[in-house]
Amino acid sequence: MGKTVLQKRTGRHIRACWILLGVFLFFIGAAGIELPPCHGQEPAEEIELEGTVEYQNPDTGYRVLIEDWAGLLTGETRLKLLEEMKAVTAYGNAAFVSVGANSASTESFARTYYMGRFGTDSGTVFVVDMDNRNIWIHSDGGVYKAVTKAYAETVTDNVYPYASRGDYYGCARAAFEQITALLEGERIAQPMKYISNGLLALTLAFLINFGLVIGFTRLPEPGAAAVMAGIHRKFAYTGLKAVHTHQTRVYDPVSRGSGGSGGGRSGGGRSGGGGGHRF
Amino acid sequence: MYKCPNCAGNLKFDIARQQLYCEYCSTQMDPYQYTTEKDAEEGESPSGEYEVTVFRCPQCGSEILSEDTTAATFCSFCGASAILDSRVSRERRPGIILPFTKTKEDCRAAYGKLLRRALFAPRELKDEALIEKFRGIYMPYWVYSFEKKDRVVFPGRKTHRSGDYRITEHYQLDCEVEEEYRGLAYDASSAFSDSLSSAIGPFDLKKGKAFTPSFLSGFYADTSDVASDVYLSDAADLVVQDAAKSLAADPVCRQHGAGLGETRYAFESALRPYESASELAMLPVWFLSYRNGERVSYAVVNGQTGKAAADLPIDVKRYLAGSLILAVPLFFLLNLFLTITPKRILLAAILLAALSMMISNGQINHILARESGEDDKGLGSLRQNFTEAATPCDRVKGTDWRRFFNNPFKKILLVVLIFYVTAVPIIFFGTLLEDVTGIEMTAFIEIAVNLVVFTSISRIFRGGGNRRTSEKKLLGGGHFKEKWPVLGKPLGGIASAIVIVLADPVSDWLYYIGAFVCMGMVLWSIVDIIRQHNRLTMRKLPQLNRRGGGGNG
Repeated sequence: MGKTVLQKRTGRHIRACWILLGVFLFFIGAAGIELPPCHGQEPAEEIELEGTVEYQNPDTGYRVLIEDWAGLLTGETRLKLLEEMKAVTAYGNAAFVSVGANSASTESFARTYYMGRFGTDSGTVFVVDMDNRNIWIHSDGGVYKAVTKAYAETVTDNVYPYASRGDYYGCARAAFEQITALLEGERIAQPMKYISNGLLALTLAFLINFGLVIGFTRLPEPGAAAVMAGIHRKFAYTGLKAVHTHQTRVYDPVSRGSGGSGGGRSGGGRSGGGGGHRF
Repeated sequence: MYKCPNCAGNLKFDIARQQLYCEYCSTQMDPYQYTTEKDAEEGESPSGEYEVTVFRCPQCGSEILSEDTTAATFCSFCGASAILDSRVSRERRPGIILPFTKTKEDCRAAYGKLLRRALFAPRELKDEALIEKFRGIYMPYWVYSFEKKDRVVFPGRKTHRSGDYRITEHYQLDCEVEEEYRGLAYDASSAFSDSLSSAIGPFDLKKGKAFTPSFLSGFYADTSDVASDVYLSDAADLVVQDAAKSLAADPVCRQHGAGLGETRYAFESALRPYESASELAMLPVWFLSYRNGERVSYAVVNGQTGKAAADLPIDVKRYLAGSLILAVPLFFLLNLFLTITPKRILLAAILLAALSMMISNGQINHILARESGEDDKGLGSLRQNFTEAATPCDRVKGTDWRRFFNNPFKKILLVVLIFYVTAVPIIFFGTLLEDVTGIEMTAFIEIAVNLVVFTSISRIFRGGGNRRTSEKKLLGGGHFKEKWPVLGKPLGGIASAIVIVLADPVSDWLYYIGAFVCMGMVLWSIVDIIRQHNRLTMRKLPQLNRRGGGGNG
């Protein structure tokens, strides 16, 4: 019946492993589940509101903007891209912007640009940030329901190789094609997602099954109460009394740090979100 | 053999009737009555012994006792099918016997219930022919009794604060205590593992009876080879804990802080019983062995309560099939709720590799402890120089460097070293996780780093205690040679993933390749983990030196 310290330690190790698995699942879940948009974050900088309304859908009033500040597109490709982007205006605004110098992050730039051009209206912007070598899709309103942060990441993952090759028109065209597909309720190709999830599912299945094996087949040890119930046990005491013997005092000043608490601060809400990829 | 007085048939102990019973003429006899008659015929046995047939397995050297002279055709300990050698011997007479109350049918039902939970156990374990081999064996147990009737004195302490002072009031408490604990049972056979005997416990020793050999008729009995003092301290600790728990619950003790914090040791010492006695008892166990090559696993069922426990290995094919089936819903769940980006999949692979390393490390420590006999006090006590030679930590080569850290300055150096080895990766991965997930990780990182540093400091500077144990913990169990081939796989996966994280390439393909390599390593290491589990559940064949078993097992 004797169980050694090492057995107990191994039991603790195995319990610790499963706790770690739980924490891991929490983190990957938290990473993958659509995160709510950040609130209270101020724009990194103001954007000069200069741009050209290239097209406005007469039925919906949604606009297409192409602002190629970094000069990545030719006149011809700009017009071609405009045609591609028109399909988005059935659901919201669409913008393509390229920037050569950007001191903020691409995400911050995209968010600020969008707010400046469209406010909280439905729409999407595709940013090519040559300074950070990053592409980014930011969406808001009704479009964000289809082009979520997760899909924005998938789309940029799919199209970044064009940008790496310097084909910025091809990159933007492919991005808006996939955005349009999503808005029309179609699916976009995500081969690596399925391969990765398949492998991850298999690995997790192996580990979870091992957890089940350990959980169901471990050799349990009876508790002290169960052991005591099966024996002849007598414990009695009488005349319990306490006598005060002495007192000790230890100087231990209470730390007097600055007290008080600051007032709360609430910021304005912010909607929308997106994802991107380096190139 | 107990002859029936009416027909000369073989009288056996019948569980349902709790009597000796002749299955030919239905004669029933009280076991004590028969013993008296048999003793009168054969003459009085020398004090403390009784005559019995000893069967010895030619393969593993195990010995098993029986009142029956019919040849035994298999060994319960190594599972070998062989005619066991037999001889008549005089054995130490136990003081107590707890007769079987669970029949073989009860035993089969309990085992069947246990197997229903064993999802991936080999089919052979459910084979009727194997289950038929369950054998009723009386296992020897040391039954400890403790007494104490004395006036005990112990300290109490209450602390409160007054301004800048902590004021502690010291008390002396005393009372008359009367302790009497009888029936704490620990298995006395090295062939019966502590883990299994513990798992089917406890027995209700209050139903124990005075031993008489006729109870053994129709059953087997194992011999005791573990000294009575091996588990004495474990039993005494249980008594002290129980007594301390009862007394500490008294309002006077609670009011004066007795049994808490620094006074706990003195409190428990005061209650430690000074009179102890041990007595050999025979307790009923249904015992089954399943042999697979050079390994054996056991299933046992408590013959009194019906509680079952078994070493349940994994059938790799069934495990693979089960995992593939489980992977399907997991795949759909992941597709629904998880968006994989190259960085995230790499991070996931690193975490899974770390998890598999932790599991594997725990398993190897358990295996090493089992195979060295460290996790079985009874078996360990029989091995010569057990405490010196069989502790994994001591077998690690190159232990001299630990002595290098004996002085305080070098201990500080060790703390700094541990900080860099453990805290820096935590900060690195925490920051990476923060970047990838966008979740604020600063608080987690601070807590993790503080835990690592304070745990290291407390372990390194902890005074007293068992030096060897603390060293072993510090080194995570040692045995580099055994661990490296197994832990090297996920570690290699982690290393390759870290290289990619540090290189931070633009191309997603490198991330995916790194993640797939790392997860491949994890899958490979999971196969190792299953093998380790099977090594734990399929024990080494017994080689019982006490019974003359050589190395031929």
